[in-house]
Amino acid sequence: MMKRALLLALLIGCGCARKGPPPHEAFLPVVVRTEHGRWATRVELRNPGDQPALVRVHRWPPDDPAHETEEIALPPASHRTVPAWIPPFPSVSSYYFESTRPFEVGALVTHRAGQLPPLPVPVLPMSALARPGDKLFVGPFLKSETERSHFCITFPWTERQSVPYRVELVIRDVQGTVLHHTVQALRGLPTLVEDPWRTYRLPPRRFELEVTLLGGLRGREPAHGIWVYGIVQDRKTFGSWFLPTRVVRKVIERP
Amino acid sequence: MAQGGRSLSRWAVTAGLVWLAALWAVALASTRIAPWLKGPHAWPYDLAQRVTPLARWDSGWYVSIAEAGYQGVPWWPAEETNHAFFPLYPLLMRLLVRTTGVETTLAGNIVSALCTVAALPFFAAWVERRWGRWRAKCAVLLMLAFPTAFFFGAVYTEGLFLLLAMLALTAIDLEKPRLAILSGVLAGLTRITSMAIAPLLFLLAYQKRRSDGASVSQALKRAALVGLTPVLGFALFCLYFQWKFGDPFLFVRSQHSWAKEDKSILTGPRLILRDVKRDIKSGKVLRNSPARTLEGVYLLLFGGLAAALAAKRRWAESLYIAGILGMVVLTGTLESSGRYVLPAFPGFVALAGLARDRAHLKALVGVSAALQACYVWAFVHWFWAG
Repeated sequence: MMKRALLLALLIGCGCARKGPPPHEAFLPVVVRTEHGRWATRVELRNPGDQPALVRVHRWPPDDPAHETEEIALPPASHRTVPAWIPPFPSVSSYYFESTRPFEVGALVTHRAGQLPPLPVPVLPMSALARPGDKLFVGPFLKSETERSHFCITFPWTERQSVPYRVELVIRDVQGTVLHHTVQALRGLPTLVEDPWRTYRLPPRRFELEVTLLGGLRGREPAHGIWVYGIVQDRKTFGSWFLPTRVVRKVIERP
Repeated sequence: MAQGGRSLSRWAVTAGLVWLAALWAVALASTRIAPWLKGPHAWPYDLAQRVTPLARWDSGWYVSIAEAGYQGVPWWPAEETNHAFFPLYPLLMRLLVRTTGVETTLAGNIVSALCTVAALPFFAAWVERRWGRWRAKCAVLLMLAFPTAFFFGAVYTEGLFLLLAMLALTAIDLEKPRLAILSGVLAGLTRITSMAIAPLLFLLAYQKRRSDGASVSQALKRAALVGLTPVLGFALFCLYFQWKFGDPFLFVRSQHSWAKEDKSILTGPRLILRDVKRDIKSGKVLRNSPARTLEGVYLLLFGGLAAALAAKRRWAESLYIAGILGMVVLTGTLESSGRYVLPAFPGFVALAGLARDRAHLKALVGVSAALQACYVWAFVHWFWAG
């Protein structure tokens, strides 16, 4: 009897002692590089503290399984560039960072020739991601002689065991008319929609995108959630900018 | 008799489980044998990382349907899309994934394994009713040991089709028309081979009704009802495409997109002959494309087995095998012949006729199983295996 109680206590103890999430995390939704390095995302890690930090970076997807996770040591008050070990465009990757010590991340999409202004990439806290029931709004997307735009539904490395997810896509024109509505699966990699007008057979109009994370197809809860970003590019200058992404949290009804 | 039937069923299930265990042992061991030696593939990173060793090549298309349904209609004529694949198998995978949360390819392996093991007692009983117990046991062993039989356990439709075909045939023998109809329709939703089984169902249903004393017209009615069920299943598939994409022949169009050159079913046999002649003339029968050459051997083997069945006046069974071989020939390529012949189960009964005693059987099964192990290694390492 005593032995059983001890065993039970030990098991409960093990369960309680499960490692919690690291206290410092960040999500970089887009890291790209073109085949010959014309465009590349330069990612820099900084340690603002006075103690060394070890930051773990998880690339999703990486160019090779050996590069999926990498530990980067940062001495106090130092910075390091994160190697861009990712497949070339049209694949897009996302980075998830974790550390037990505080760190900062900076990311810029740069042009090799340096003639274009670099595009700063927003670095997100994990709490910003959309969880089941949350809605993400991005827009307006436009396609004209002077500009073009695209979007990508992405998620951090932590979600790789829970995908595929079911997402609802609603595309509305600026008057609010629904142009496209679909429920689709978000599979194991970030989904880049390079030409939404062609993919969804949309009329050549401006539109707003609404993406709702409905849940996991495998019945597994997302670890953190998903994100959608939209980018507009000037066809003449090739200058780009991110469209604002707004999250509307699921309203939990009280009984 | 019933006791004997149960013992044969138990034996068949046991044989299936032993084969399954051996198959997975070889597949898992294969991942560790020369892991650096891999054929090229274009699967996305996440899929290649998470799949089981028995999910390769076309398995990816079934996974895509199970996870995300049929994709949008192709944009350009030669675009390869998942519309070339039937819906029932990925639907079962999806069902298992959503109810248990297992990884999608593992779900496919589970569906395939369950279907194959469940089909074996029906197959054994079907053979026993016609050829006796010894032949039934030999046929089961030879089917499981056949070099390409690992596809029964892989993320492919062969196992499911075998189960549905055996259920339909058993239902005909046991006078259970509803089960025969249901199985036939589901077979039509599983793979194109179901078109070849329609004449077999028709002829066996007709023979059964006639032997039970039904008139010719009554027997014909029942035979037509059962025989048309795979066609009905296929028609449902086409109707679904009409409803979803506005094109009932999207399956056919998609099949054309998979061809590497412009061809039709009329030019298929000529293209196969051209390839065979080219290989023989160049004197590189096994060096140019060893897998393709071996696939031609399987085609010839099953042609011979169909002829052997015809010589024994087993017309329906012979016609079924000929139908499957005809489908391969019409595709214009020998690729996948070794896999396509797997559902031609009467062929294994004819093959079992070669096993006159235990020594013969052991030799046949041993050689065949060793070849299967080689095929599994090649498949796991992304080399073409059918």
